[in-house]
Amino acid sequence: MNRRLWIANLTAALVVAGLLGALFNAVFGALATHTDWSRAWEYRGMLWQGWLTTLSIASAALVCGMIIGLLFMLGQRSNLVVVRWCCRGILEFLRDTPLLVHLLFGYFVILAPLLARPLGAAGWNDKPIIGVLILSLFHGAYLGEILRGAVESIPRTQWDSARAVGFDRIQVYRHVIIPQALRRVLPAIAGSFVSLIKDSSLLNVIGVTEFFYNTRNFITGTYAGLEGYVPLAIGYLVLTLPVAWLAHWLERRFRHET
Amino acid sequence: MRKNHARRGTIGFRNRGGVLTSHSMNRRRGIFFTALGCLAALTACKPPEEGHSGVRELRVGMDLDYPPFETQNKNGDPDGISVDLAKALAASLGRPLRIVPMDFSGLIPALRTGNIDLVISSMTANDERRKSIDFSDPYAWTGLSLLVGKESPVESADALDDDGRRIAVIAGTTGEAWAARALSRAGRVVFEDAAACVAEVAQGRADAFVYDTLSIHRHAARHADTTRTLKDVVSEESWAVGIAKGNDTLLREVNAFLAGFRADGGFKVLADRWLREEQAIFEKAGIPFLLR
Repeated sequence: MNRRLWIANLTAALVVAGLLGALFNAVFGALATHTDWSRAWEYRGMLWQGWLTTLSIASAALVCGMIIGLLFMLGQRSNLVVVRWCCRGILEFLRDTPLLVHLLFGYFVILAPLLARPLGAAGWNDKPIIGVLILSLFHGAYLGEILRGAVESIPRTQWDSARAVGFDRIQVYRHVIIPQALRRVLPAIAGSFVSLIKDSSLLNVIGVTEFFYNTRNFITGTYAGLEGYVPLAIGYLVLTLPVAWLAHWLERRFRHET
Repeated sequence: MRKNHARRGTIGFRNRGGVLTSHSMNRRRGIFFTALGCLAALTACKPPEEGHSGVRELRVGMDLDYPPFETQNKNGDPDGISVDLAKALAASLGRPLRIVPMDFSGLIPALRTGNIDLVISSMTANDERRKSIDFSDPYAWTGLSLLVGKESPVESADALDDDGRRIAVIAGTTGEAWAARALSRAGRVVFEDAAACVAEVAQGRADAFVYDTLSIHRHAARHADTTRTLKDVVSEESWAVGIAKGNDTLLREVNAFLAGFRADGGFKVLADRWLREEQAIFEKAGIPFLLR
């Protein structure tokens, strides 16, 4: 880097830092008189509990969603027309209706009457489990579409060449399609995962007391302002940033592989 | 006052079976009934969650987002007036209590599908909701009040029904519905939360904020230097315990409990514990207190 560019970069950095500092100072300075961090500290147990719930439902839904997404992708590429159309229909329904409807209808009308008692008898709390299931289905549908797009973006000739050299269907997926498709699709998957984590805040309508619900109740209960919203933002950032970062890292790794 | 949630359509209720005993019957009928009993057990007719003593849990749904009625304490446990009321109710019925916290919009669906037995969540007993659930006798009465600027010349709600006026309301509340009906000539500004409405009035961008009487008086007390309340209490309504339709035994039990609790001065104890300041405010304003 030449000297002039270096100086220009440094100046830009200083200007940006100065502007941001002034902005933060103005905003937080105005709010500081009403901000009492000790309240957030007093309620740490409740916030922590909620955060752990969000962490576990989001992680479980990430794994289940990925599996459901793969199934949807394979289903849409099936040779059987019936399977293909069924998958397409379910996927479109899930993608084109609000998650809130899935949660209210899916929990109260369909899944809770079926599963609540057997799960309760086994000593499980049915709400987070069914919540994870519905959340996974919703995001599985998105992932299924993302994955299908990625797989279909691999030129048909690659399929044919792989089959020509004697690969079977599974080997084609394993050695030819997935390594290439995965790299193209990682940013979209990361985006979908991040929205899944944020969508988990809707689970409170079926009685899952997750991070958003607990923080909201802390804010209304203590008239908290910044001391409620800042932990809320940080709590979600702690969950979403690693996902985004991991996706970037994997993307770089796979770039060298092909 | 709370977001008006009314869903229509019929949803089946959970059916409960009894425990079948086969002694004192002849053998063949005994076998028949045992088989029937097994079938009943298999088709999930067993009563829902049982405590250790075999008594069914009383599951009470509430949205813990409305302090001091429904809230969470520092450890995240449910706390508040409605929680105390639910505890007293469960104790009088001799059933173990389980509070089921959920968003307000989930309460009526949960009740209708037998996920919870009761709703005690500062829910206004209105006709729209009566189409889908039953309500007990009321246990609290509230109306709408108006918050105006400290220096505002307005003295009555009627004076606000004018072209140049701007009324701040919260989206989906009965305050919004009332303002649309009774102050139809005034303009309405709709917000998502109370803090924004109070700020609008305090800073003079809106002429009044319509919300439930207690909240309005609390906000007026917190912002005494910039706001005050109007004397009028408009559009009185009551809160009651929500019960699934057809659950008449529980409805009678709840009503009997409420009458007894009232006679024993239970509501006064709750008010003294949770709403001492507000009681004083209501007394000063000459309005009967809401819990009674």
